[in-house]
Amino acid sequence: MSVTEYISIAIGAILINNFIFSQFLGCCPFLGCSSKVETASGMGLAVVFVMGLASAICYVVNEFILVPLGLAFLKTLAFILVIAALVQFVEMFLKKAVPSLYSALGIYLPLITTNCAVLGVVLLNVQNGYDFLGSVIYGITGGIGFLVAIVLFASVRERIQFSDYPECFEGFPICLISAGLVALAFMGFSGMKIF
Amino acid sequence: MNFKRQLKEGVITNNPILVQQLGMCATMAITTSLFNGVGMGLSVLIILTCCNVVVSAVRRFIPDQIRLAIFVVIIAGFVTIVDLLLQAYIPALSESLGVFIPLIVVNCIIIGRAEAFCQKNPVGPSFVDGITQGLGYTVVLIVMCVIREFLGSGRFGGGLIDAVKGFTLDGTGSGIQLFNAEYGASILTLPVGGFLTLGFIFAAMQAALKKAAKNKAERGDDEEEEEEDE
Amino acid sequence: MKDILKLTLVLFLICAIVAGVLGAVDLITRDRIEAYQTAKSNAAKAAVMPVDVQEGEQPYENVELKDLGIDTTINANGQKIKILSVSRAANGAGYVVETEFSGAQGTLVMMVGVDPELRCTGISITQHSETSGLGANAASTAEVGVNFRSQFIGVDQTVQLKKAGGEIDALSGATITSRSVTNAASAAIRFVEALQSAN
Repeated sequence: MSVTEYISIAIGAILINNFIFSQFLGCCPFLGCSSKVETASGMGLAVVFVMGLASAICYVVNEFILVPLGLAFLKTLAFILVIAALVQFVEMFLKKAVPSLYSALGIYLPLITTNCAVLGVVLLNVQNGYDFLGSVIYGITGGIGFLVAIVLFASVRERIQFSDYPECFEGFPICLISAGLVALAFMGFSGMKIF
Repeated sequence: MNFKRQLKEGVITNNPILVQQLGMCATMAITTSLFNGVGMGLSVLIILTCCNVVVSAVRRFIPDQIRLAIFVVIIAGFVTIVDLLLQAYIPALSESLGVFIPLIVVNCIIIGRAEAFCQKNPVGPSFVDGITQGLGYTVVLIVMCVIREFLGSGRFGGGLIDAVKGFTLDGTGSGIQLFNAEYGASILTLPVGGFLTLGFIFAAMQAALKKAAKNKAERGDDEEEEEEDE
Repeated sequence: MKDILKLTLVLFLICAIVAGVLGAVDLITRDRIEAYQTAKSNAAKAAVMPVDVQEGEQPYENVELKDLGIDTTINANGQKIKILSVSRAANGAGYVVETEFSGAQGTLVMMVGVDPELRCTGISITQHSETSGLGANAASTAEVGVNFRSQFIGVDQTVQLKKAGGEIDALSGATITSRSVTNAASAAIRFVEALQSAN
């Protein structure tokens, strides 16, 4: 794959095919963990890290273990186990290295395991036939796309608290509606030419 | 625990999407045609029921420390089975749902039910719980699909009606055209529409639940007793 | 220590059981999935170059691109077109080239039929994410789409939009999509030319 292809993968993952706003991957933590910009950015960074690492490891697992042995049908199972182990590792690392971030992320850290963006990115890597570097770039930039989306949205949400809306929209519904409006803004990137 | 009560819980008062707020990604992503919605809903229903039964059957043998890992393995197993079967027998559905079928693995509904319900309950109620929660999920998907299809492109039952009519499951056919697609708000068929539609359904549900709670409070405890008699 | 061993054993056992069951399901479904994939790609190829064969025979034969040493990315009028696969029709009617390129919104995948005289026998778009009502017409089964695609039957590698002095009428409001489709058709024909001279 050429450099332009890598660049187009990166820009596509961050802006045009943003994981949250156009592929709907990772909505649960996106909606659940975005009430404060600080928590949101912590969560986003953890996701960038896990997605990059997961893409690299899963590429190796798929290419050198599953495909040669003809076990491609086991990929969902293998990938989710790899991700679960990885998240455990990130959790232990954060607990030791950045305890403040660890306590801020609270229950959402183990939930990265069930973040469909992470499993989604490794499955899409296989589906799109990316090579090793391509997979890692897609993973990291997909994570950055998630980070951008969640931080932007958290800042929107901080303002919603002070605004006036119908009572029945309290809580979740108004979040969804504003997420929809942010997604609408992201649609503006869809016509962008890459190469 | 009886069926009626569990059904009410699954579909209304403890609906997996609208009340427990689980499994939102697929809900917004695939609800563009009724064919997809029904297919996805039934897939989740089947997987959820199977997982519930198995998890509840082996719950005594699972060491507590690694229970989540084991749940995930069991769920991934069933999801892969359904994925392979769909690819072989209903390829059109498998294609239009794409990556969202394997992603049922990380659909919080399934692991959530395993953790919250099946761990503590015997096989029978777990089986019923799988079906009722699955139905609750499917109902919301269908409502989403109908709204997005109708307002977005003026159609009803895309793919599904033709499938029922001709007994072919190729997902083609545009259903019934109720008004010219040109007048539709095509934004609803785009990703943005997913967020907006779900937001409004959520709001409607919250309003309805609040109203029901208010009525209940006014009528006092009569209904509580009634329910237990059922 | 004993605990860890026990936990590992339980997890391993469950994984083994699940893997075993999946293996069995895979055995049952594998043939059907493969048959479906072949049927689907054959149907897409038949849309641009129909081939009648006896039952049991394969109508198209895949050409291994790696061994040929031809560059699979072709620059057509400044646009990069990627050649994904080429297959030869069993009756010698020509080649079906699968191309990938970017349109106005995203990536398109298109089958192009090319006969031995290097003329296009038809195009069919198998994957796209163009704007519905504009660029998406290029792939639609409605009259406007059929008319657009039928313009490509019989063209050679110099094919161009009318705006650029050629013969193809662009879809209204979708010049970018039309131009990229035209470029891909031209690239496919040039690839077959290179393929024939390599043989």
